[in-house]
Amino acid sequence: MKALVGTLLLIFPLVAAAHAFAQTYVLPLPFWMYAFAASAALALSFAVVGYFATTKSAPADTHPAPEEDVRRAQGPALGVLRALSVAALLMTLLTTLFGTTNPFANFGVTFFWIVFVLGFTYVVALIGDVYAAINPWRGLCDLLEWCYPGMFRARAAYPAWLGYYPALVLYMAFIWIELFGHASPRGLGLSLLAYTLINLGGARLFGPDAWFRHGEVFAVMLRLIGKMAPLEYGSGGLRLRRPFVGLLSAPADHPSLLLFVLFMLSSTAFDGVHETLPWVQVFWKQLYPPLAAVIAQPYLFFVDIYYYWQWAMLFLSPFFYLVVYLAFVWLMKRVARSERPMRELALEFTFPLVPIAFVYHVTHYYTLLVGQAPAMVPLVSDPFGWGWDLFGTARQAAALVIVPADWVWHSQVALILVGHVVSVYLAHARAMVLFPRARQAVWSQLPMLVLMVAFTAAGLWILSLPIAAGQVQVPQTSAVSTFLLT
Amino acid sequence: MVLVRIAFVALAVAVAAGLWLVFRPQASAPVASRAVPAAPAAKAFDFVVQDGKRVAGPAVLRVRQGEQVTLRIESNANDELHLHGYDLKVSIKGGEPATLQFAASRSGRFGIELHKRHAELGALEVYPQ
Repeated sequence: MKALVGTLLLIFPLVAAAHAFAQTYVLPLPFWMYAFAASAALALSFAVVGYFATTKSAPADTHPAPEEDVRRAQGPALGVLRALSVAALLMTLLTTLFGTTNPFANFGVTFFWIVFVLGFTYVVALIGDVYAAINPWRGLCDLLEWCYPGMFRARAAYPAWLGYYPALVLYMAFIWIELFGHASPRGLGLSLLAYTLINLGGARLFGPDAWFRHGEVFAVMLRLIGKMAPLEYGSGGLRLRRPFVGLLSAPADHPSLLLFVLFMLSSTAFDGVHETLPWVQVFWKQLYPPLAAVIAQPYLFFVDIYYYWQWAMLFLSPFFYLVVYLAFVWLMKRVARSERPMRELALEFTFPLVPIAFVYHVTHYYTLLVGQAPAMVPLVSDPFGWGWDLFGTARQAAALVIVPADWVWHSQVALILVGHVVSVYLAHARAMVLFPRARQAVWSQLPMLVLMVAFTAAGLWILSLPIAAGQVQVPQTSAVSTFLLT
Repeated sequence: MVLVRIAFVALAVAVAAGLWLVFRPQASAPVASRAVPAAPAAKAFDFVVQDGKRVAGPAVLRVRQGEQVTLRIESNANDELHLHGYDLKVSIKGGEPATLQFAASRSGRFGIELHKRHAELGALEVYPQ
C-alpha cells in the first residue's frame, strides 16, 4: 500500500500551482479588488455603449492587407530570422531529447514554455503576426522541399468541413500536456518530435499553405493574437493601424475557429480554477461521497477518476462556453430583430472575444514569464546541462524576479478591465455594421454586454479564489488519509 | 468628434477612479485580507512531521510583509526543508528540532517543501503591507 501511494505521489506530485514545470508565487486577488473590477467592468461597458450612441460611427479596418502577404515576404533579414527559427526548433528538440533530465537546467524546457509559448506570444500581440513569416515547422518544410522538390505538393484538397478542427484538437492536447503532462524534458522532446511529424505529414498531405493555415496550433493562435497589434505587414511593407482594429477586418471563417477562441478563454479559466480549493472540493466533497457509496472500489480508484474528471472538464470547457455564447447571440438576434442567420452572427462576434481571452492569459502567466525568463542567461551557455560554458554565462545565477503581490493584483485588474473595454468596443463596432439602425445596434449590444461582463467577472472571480493545498483531498475518516495528506 | 472621444475617456477614468475609492478598504483596516489579523511583528509556527506528512502545524501560514517568521520543525526522518521563492533551506535531522528564521520581505504565496520526499508541507502567504 505504502509503495503504491509512493508511486502515486511520483505520478501526481501534490505541489500546487505548477504550470508546466515552474511555479508562480501569486496570491489570490483580495475580495474588494474583485468587487471593484467587476463593477468597473459593468460601468465601463455602459460608457462604451454611451460613446457609440453619441458618435454613431463605427471604426473599421479600412485597408486590411492579405494575410498571405506576410508569409510570402522576402528579404535578407527575414531569411536570417527563418534560419534562426528552424535552428531554435532543432536546438529545443536536441536539448530536451538528449540533455539533462532536470527541467530547470535544460535549455529546451525554458525556451519552449517560457520564451516561445509566453514571451513570443506577447511580442506578436505588440508587433503583429511575424510568426507567419518565420514558422519553424514551415521553415523545415521549405528546407525539405528545397532538398527533395515535390515533397510537399498537396496530395489532397483540404476539406472545407474540417476547418480549424485539427488545430483545436492539437491545442487541447497542448494544454493537457501543460497542465497534466508533468513534462520532463524527454516528455516535452518526444511531444515536440511527434508534433513536428504531424506538421510534416499534414503539409505533405494538404500542402503547406492549407495545413499551416488550419492545422498548426501556434500558426492559428498567433494569427488571432497578431490581429490585435498596431502593425501589419503587406505587399506595401509595414503599415500602422489602430490597435485591435485588425480583429474587425473579417469575421471568423469557420465555427471551429469560434471554438478555438472559446478554448483560449476556457482553458486559461480552467487552469486558474483547477487548483483552487472550491474546485477541488466539488469533486471530493460533492461527487466523491455518493460515488464511494455506490461503487465498492478502493480509495485510489477514485484518485484516478478524479484526474479523468479534471481532463473531461478541460476538454468540455469550450463547449460549455459555446452554449452560453450561442444563448447570448440568440438573445442579441431576437433583441435586434435581425434576419441574419445565427451562424453568421456567431462568427461575426467571435474575434471581439479575443482581447478578453488574451488579457486573461497575460494576467495568468506574465509572472511566470518575468520570473523564469532570467534563467535563459545561464541556460544559453549550458543548453544540455552538461557543464558547458559557451558564452561565459553558465555560472551566472539567474536573477530571482518575484513581482510583489500588490503589483500583481493591480496589474491583473488593470489588464482585465482594458481587455474587457476593448472587447465590448469591438463587438459594438461590429453591431453598428450588422444592424444598421442605430437603436437596433444599441439594444442588440445589451445581451453581448452581459455576456462579456459575465466572462470578465468569472475570470476575476477565479483569480480571487483560495488555492488548494493539493489536488487529492481525503475524507477525514479514510484509512489511507495519513498516507496522502502531506 | 475628438472632443467626444476625450470626454468619454475622461468619463471612463473618472468612473473607474470613483469606484476604486468606494471599494478600497479604509486605510486603518488591513489592506490585504480580512483573514490576516493585526499581528505582532514576529510569528512562529511549529510543525511535527512523521514519515513525510504533517501531523501538527498549519497548512497555510499567513503573515504580513516585513514580519519576522520562525519555522520550527520536528521530523522522525532526515530531510531538508525548502522555502520556495525565498530559496531558503534547512536540513532536518530525525528526532531533532530544526529552525528556520527569516524576515518575510517578499509578498506572495510560497511553497514549503520537504525536499527529499518531494512533498508539499504547506504554503507561506505573505500579504503586502
